[in-house]
Order: sequence, then structure tokens, then C-alpha cells
Amino acid sequence: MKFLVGGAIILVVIGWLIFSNVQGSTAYYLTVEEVMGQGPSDRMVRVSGLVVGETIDWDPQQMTLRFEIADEGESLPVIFKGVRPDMFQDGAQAVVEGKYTTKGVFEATSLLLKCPSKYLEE
Amino acid sequence: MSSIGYWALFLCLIVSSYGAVASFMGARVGSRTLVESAKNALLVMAVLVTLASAILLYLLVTHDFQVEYVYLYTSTHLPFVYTVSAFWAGEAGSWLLWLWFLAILTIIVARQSERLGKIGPYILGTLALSEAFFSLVLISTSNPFETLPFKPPEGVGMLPLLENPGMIFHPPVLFLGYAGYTVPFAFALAALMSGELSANWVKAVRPWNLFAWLSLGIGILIGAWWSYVELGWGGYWAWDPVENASLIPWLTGTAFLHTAMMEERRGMHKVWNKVLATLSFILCLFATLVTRGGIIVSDLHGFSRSIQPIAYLLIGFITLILAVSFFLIYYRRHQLRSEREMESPLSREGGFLLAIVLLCAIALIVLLGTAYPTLAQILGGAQLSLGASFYDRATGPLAMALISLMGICPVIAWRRLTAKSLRDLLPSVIAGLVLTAVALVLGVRDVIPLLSTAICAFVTTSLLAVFTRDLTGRHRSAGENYPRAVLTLISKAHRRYGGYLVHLGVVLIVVGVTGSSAYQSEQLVALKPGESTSIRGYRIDYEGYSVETLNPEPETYQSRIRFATSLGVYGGDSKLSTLVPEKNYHWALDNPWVTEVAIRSNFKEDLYVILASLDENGLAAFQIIINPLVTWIWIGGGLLLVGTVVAAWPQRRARAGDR
Repeated sequence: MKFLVGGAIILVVIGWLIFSNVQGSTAYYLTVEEVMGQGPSDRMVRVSGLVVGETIDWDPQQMTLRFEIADEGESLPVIFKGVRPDMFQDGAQAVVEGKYTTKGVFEATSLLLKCPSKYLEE
Repeated sequence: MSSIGYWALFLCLIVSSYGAVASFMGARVGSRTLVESAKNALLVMAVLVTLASAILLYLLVTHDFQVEYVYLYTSTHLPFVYTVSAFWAGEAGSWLLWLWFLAILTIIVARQSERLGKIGPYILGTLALSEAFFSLVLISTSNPFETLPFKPPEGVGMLPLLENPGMIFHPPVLFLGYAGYTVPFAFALAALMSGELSANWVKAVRPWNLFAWLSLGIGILIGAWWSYVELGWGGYWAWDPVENASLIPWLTGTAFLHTAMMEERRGMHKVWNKVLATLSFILCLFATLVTRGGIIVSDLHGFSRSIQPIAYLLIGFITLILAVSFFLIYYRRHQLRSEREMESPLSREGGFLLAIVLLCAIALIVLLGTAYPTLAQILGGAQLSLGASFYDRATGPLAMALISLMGICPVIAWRRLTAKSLRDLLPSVIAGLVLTAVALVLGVRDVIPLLSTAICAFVTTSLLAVFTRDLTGRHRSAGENYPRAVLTLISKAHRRYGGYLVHLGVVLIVVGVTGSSAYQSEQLVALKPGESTSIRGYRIDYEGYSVETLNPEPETYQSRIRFATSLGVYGGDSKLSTLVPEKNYHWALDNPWVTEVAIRSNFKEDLYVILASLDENGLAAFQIIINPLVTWIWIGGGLLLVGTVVAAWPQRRARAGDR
């Protein structure tokens, strides 16, 4: 009986830890089309697309990277302050996380690029 | 040459299968001849795997590019150590390394198996069966000896990110841990199969358990160091599925170390032991399923999207093990009753149980978090990802509680809480509070660092106090002087003090993680040659840059243009060091740019400089980061190693005062 109660308490604690944190840490993937369609929003979302080479504008003085990502014919202007990642180039698969602002620009707080596994090159 | 390697692996499958059948049959009918013949088979097996490994190594070193594996991972420009490391650069070679380690461990176990009595042959059978599985993988889905129809003049080369000392040590040590966990599992399964369920198997398995646990832990730490010094892997820990996959078996393995101690000393947790030994092994296999199987969704590592054939083999094997183990546990449930009931939850037994539960809970959360994006995709079709903050927040409170227990358990008595235990705990509680107050005065205001300070100070003083009490006791009772008393104490109860050292190592790791995650500061700056900037008491002069071309002909992954900037680092008026952050343009790569960070570290903090971009006129953009206390993570790792070696040191006197 003691063990049942103990076990139940533990399970509740684990469940609570998971559920209370999943919501805060989950980022939903939207397509470029969905982001543009929904318009400006305060919600953090992730968008992935291919970097359009001719739109890349890197300002080393300000450490600001402006570019567009394209997906299924639509393209989304993105602004990111920070280091330009090594793999950032035309046609790279980028995942940006941030908010779509009223200025019609996606302000990214993080910029990830899909890279090969630590060991494998696919 | 390569066909000899393949046939050696093919023979491995046959010989190990025979070994498994002969061992199990021999155990069943009690035939010594059969068991002896199985042992010989295992010896032959080890010779064959060694032969296959030697051949792969030979092919790599002689640059036989007709072999696909050699072609894909090496080039003539590659330095010798990395040519050797290319052995485990790809999937097939990793499996071969794993099998080789397993074969070596197996013959060591076979030599001891005489002393193991009835369970010996079952252990050998299980090990042989695992060897057969790995051989099957190697000859079916992941053959390292696959050849190309022609011989290319030059190899593709190793990815520049892998050209790091981390590549030499991280994979082999990790695989040694993975292979090592086969042994505790084999012991547990053998105990269940034979019905020989006394605590003897736990005693015999202890060195193996420590060995696997240590290898896996050190492997994980080397991996963390590698991620830290190599840009783009998100610092020492990013909660990436690949990292998580290796952490999960380590957590269950840690729980198993503690349950095993409880069975050995108190005859408790017998079911837990079988389950945890099995789970640790299965989770090692699961780790490869994550990295190789194409099942888990990862943001960072672009795994192949489709499920690989290897995944079916692994899932099949895992299911088989789970089914057999759980059936046997159920079948033997009456023999697996605890010899002792817990008298009070407020006792050392209770503390151990709580620690075990917490370790398993953390492992479960990490496992669910890793699988969550995949599950969500299958169940709801939603594409989502779980950020690192999930793991920090969900496992953080449990980890804090777990670490506090490291300070409580050594002090409180077995069976039930006594007034003396509480009195003994008081000084360390006070020490924790005092240090927290000091941190407050020094300006620490955030909750998590304060809590971490309190807990770390409490655990450290508690462990030191226990040792001091033992020492003064020894000094008084035996009349030994203090240095001598230290030596006698440690040699008499090396298991216990080794354990404390390991716990201190964990505390240091917590200190490093807390400092570097809570007090990281960062500066983005663009400088022309001759300009300087300052950050937290450092002055950094951008002295200049250089450009050079390396390994231009023939073109391989190692062909590159190196752009190196030179930074003078000053503290006050004196020059501390010169840092050279660089960018390399590897023109043969799809992603040609590879950044090499420069780090200056001391006990207080790391100065971590990334060259973000470099213009033709010399204008360079730097990201300068101060990571406080990171070095303590690596020092903690060293203490973990030393502590485990002390704990695992063979006992010279039989049953010395170890309790």
C-alpha cells in the first residue's frame, strides 16, 4: 500500500514535470505560406525553408544577417542578429525560430542549419 | 584483402552462433565438454574479429580506396592518427569496433567463468548470442568491406569537424561503454535462466558494471568537450537526440550501480537489478537505433528520413531481449522477493531507493523528450520540436534532489533515522546556508545558481565531514598519525571512499554547468586590424590576419584555405596569451566553411572566441564569450575517473571493514 501511494506520487510528479514544461518549450513548425497567411503574431514559431542566395545581406559591423527563405514558391524575409553560421549559403536548408512582426519581417532569435550527423555524411 | 575481412565476419556469425548453442545446451544438460567447446568457439571468435579489424585498419592505413569505406572517410592528406580514427568514422566500422570490444570482453569473462559456477555457461551463451547479432548486422546491413567496381585515385576524406582529438577518443571510449553493458546484462539474464538467484551474481558483476559505467560516462564527457571546442554543435550539451541517447543508458546504469549495492549488502531490490541491467543494455542498442536507424527526428543532425534496414534488425533484437527477460522475471518472481522489508523510508535504504527512482525518472523524461517529436508526428501529424529548455526545466528539479541525496545518504544510518544522524547533518546544512549567504553578498541574485551553491556546498561539506569523522575515529582508536590513518582508511574501505570521490566529481560538474549556463556573457564586435575591445577585464587586440592554402592537390576534404586572425589577450598590462580563431574554406565540401574557435581557459573562466566573418580589407567580426567555471566540468570528470578506479580496485584482504 505504502509503495502504491509512493509510486503514484512519483508518477504524478514526473507527469506534471513533463506536461508543465512541454508547452513552454514546444515550437511548432509552420510553412512559409502559413506564416505569411496568419500575419503578424506574438507566438514563437519555427519556419524552415531554403536560403535564397541573392537576398543574403550580411553586415559585419552590425552583425546583422538579412535574407529570405523560400518554400513552395513563397518567400519570407528574415532578419537575424548574430554570427553568420558556417553552413549559411545559397540553397541551405535553414530553420529559423522567432516571430513574424508587423513590419512584414520575420525576426529570428535562432538560426539553425540542417547539418550532417556527427559521424555520417548523408 | 577485403574479401578475407568479409569472410572472417561471416565465420564470426557461424562460430558465435555455435558458441551460443553449445553454451546453452551445455548449461542445460550439464555437459562440461560442450561448455569447453563453446569457450574455444569464443576464443576463435575473438581471433576472427581481431583479424577482421586488423584488415580494416590495414586497408585504411594503406589507402586502399577501392574499399568503399576507406574511400568515403579518408584521403592521402589525412594525418595518420585520423586515418586510424577513420576506423570508427562510419557506421560499419563503429559496429565492427563494438563487436571487437565485445569479443575481447567475452574471452575475459570466459576465463573467469569457472569461478561463476552454474550461471557461467549461461553468461557465455548470452554473450555469444550478442556477438552473433552484431556479426549478423555486419554481414547484412553494414559491411565495412564493401568494394567499389574500380579503384579511385584519391579518397573523399574525413569531414573537417571530425578532425579533432575528440574523434580519436570519444567514439572508442563510448563504444567500450556500450559493449561493456553487455556483460552485466548477460550476468542478469544468466542468473534468471539458471535460477541461481543469490546475491553472488551481483558481487561478480560489480567490476564489469563499474567498467561499463565509467567508460560510458567518460565517453559522454569527452563528447561534451568535443562539442564545446568544435563550433556548431551547440556547446558542451545541447540536449540533441544523439547526446540524449548516450545519456539515458548511463542514467539507468548509475541506478543499477546503486541497486546492485543494495542487493549485495541488504538483499533488496532484486527485481530492480534484473530490470536495470537489461534496460541499460537495451538502451545502448536504442542509442544506435537513434543515431543510425532514421527513426528519431533531429533538428541539428540531418539523419536520413527513411527508416533504415538496420532499424528492423535492432528493433527485432530489442524486442526479443525484452520478451525473454520479462518473461523470466515473471517466471522467477517468487525467488526474487526482497530478503528484507524497508523499516522506514527515512533511512539510508530509503535514500537509496529515492535516488534510484530519481535516476530512472530523469532517464524516462529524457527518453520521452527525445521520442516526443517523433511520436507527435506519428500520432497527430504535427511537426514540432522540443527545445533544450524543456530538459533543463523538467529534469532540473529532480537532479537537484538527487544531488542533495549524495550529501544526505552517507550520513544517515541504515534502517532508520537516528538523532545522531540529524546532529551529523547539521554542520553541512549550516555550511550550505552560509555559502549561499556569501554568494548573495557577492551579488548572485538568481534562484537557480543560489540553490545550486547551497546544494553543492552542503554535499561537499557533508562528504568531507564524514571522512573527517572516520579519520579522527581511526586516529583515536588505532593511534595512527593522520597521513597513515588516511591511507589505512582508504585501503580498508576503498569502495566507500571511491564512491565519495565520484560524488565529489559530480558536484564539480554541477558547479561548472551552473556557472557556465547562468553567467555566460557574450559580445559581438567588428574590428579592423590594430583595433581592440574589452570584455570583463580582458583587453583584446586584433593584431592581424593571415591567409594560406593547404593540401591543394589532389582535391579532398582536407584541401582548404585557412583564414587565421591573431588576437592578443591582455589582463591589466600584461599579455596573457595569443588566440588564433580561424575560418577554413574547404572547397571540396558542400558546406565549405568550417570555423575553428580559440579558447583560453583557467580555473575561473574560459575566454571563447569565434571568428564570425572576415572581409577582404581585414575587417573581422568576432563573437567573444566568457564561460565561467567550465574547466570544473572536466576536472569533475577526472575525479569521476579516479574515484571509480579507487572503488573498483581489487580487494586484497577478504571482507575488510567495508561497511
